[in-house]
Amino acid sequence: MPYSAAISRQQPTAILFLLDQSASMQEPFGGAEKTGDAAPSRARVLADTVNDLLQNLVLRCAKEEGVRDYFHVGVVGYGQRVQRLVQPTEEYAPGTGLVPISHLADRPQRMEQRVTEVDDGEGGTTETRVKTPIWFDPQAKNGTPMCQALDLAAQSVRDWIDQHPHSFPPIVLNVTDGEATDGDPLRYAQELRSFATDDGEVLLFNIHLSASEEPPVELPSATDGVPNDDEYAEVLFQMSSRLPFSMRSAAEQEGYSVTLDTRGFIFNADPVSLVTFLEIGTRPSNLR
Amino acid sequence: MSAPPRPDSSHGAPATGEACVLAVPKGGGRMDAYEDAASVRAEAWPARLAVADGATESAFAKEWAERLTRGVVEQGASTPESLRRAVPDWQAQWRAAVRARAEEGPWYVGAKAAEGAFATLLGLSLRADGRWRAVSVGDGCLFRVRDGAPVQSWPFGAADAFTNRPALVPSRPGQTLPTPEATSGSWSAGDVFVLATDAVAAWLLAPESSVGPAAAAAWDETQFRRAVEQGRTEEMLRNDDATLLIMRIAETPDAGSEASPAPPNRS
Repeated sequence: MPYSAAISRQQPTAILFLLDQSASMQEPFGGAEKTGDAAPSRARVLADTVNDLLQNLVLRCAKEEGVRDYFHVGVVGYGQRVQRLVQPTEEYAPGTGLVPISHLADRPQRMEQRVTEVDDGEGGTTETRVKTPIWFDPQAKNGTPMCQALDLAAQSVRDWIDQHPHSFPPIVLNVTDGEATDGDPLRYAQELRSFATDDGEVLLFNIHLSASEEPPVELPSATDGVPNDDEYAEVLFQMSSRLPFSMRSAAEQEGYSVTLDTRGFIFNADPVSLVTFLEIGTRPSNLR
Repeated sequence: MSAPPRPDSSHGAPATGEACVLAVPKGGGRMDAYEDAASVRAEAWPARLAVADGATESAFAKEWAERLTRGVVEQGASTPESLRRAVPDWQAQWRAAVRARAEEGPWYVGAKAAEGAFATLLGLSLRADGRWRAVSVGDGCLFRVRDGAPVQSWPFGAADAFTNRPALVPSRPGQTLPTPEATSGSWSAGDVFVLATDAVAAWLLAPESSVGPAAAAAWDETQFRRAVEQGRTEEMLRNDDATLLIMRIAETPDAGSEASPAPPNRS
């Protein structure tokens, strides 16, 4: 059965984020109250969300003796230019742009102090300061060179698969608020998804961030689930892979109804559906 | 590979019977990645046994699993009530034991320690008068074998009862302790009790498996290791830590006084 390879240190998987950094990401989410600084930009929400998710991925792999390399991770931003937002260190440069998560864990750009509520052990909560890692900051400038980003992703996963031919295949999560300004992304998406390990083809999921007040369209199974007056929504649907078994289970646990045809695609995502889907989309099979 | 360090156990003290711990780590080798635990007190009545399985995704899980099995054996917490009373102290002891390493380590070690560790726990207490009782949180499994045949399997009777989401005892005080399951019964001379962590238990219960609880009751360390290797090769046994705690009772039940009486609610 495809998409069932156990994930181990000997057989890790790869997770690659492609993040829109175009000028429109300066705007807040659709429906957010535009009250000056109170509504953060989509770029800010996305950077905070992905930094938090990277932290959670590290913690899923962390043991008392260190971080186990179940995942190799990459973050690519596309806007003013297409750039890697997390870099392997000089002594460890696998050539794929995908960094073993232990290296990511040990080298955040900085640590920030945050105040958070924790259990006080007596049924209540108490505030405590915790150190929070930050790997990259928000950016929003120029156009949306999504095709270049997909092309860079294809190079990364192709080289990574050469080194890990039996692994659970790489997962690519593309988050954008607009149309590609550098060509037809469907062709690049098909090229990216054509690479495969023994366990299945590369998975590409797409999350479209809302600029309108329309409700999100979450995990559709057919094109009639997406707005039929929006060609771009259909392109993103066609670009998106079907969810494998482990992620269908995760989606069901989050309350979604899923079928074998359910696509890893959210249109008009609000911050909540963004967080929820990124959590689902980074749940491959069990860690060993 | 050097011989693995043995889990906490007492051997060669046959006042109640013969007890042994059999352990093979996951993966095929390294005992430092082994996160099950087993403890036994067999030198006096009431005899006490416990196995635990530390959850892989938590940190300091091995320490928590060991804290739990030692606690059951030292305090005789073999009922849901006594377990509930004992867990807060064990949580405090676990926290004190890992605090220094959590504070000195990188950011993720502190964050993992703050999340707490998790483990399944199965405890058994055997009294000299022929009564026994057991308590369980999660998917450990107890087998009772008599005259070479299994007579009891608790709390699971079939391999398909095992899931990837067992109930777990948390090390963090704010989290709820799942309701422990409990059972009790009578033992006879010659009975063998086998406590197994989940992967081994599911394997022993699988109808297509070539081994079962009765075979396991007679295994020594070498036989167990061979069986585990074969089970993994045949993909009948999941690649996980494999632990058996086996107690072969030598005596007959005694209606008289116990060698080491415990307070009524604590054995």
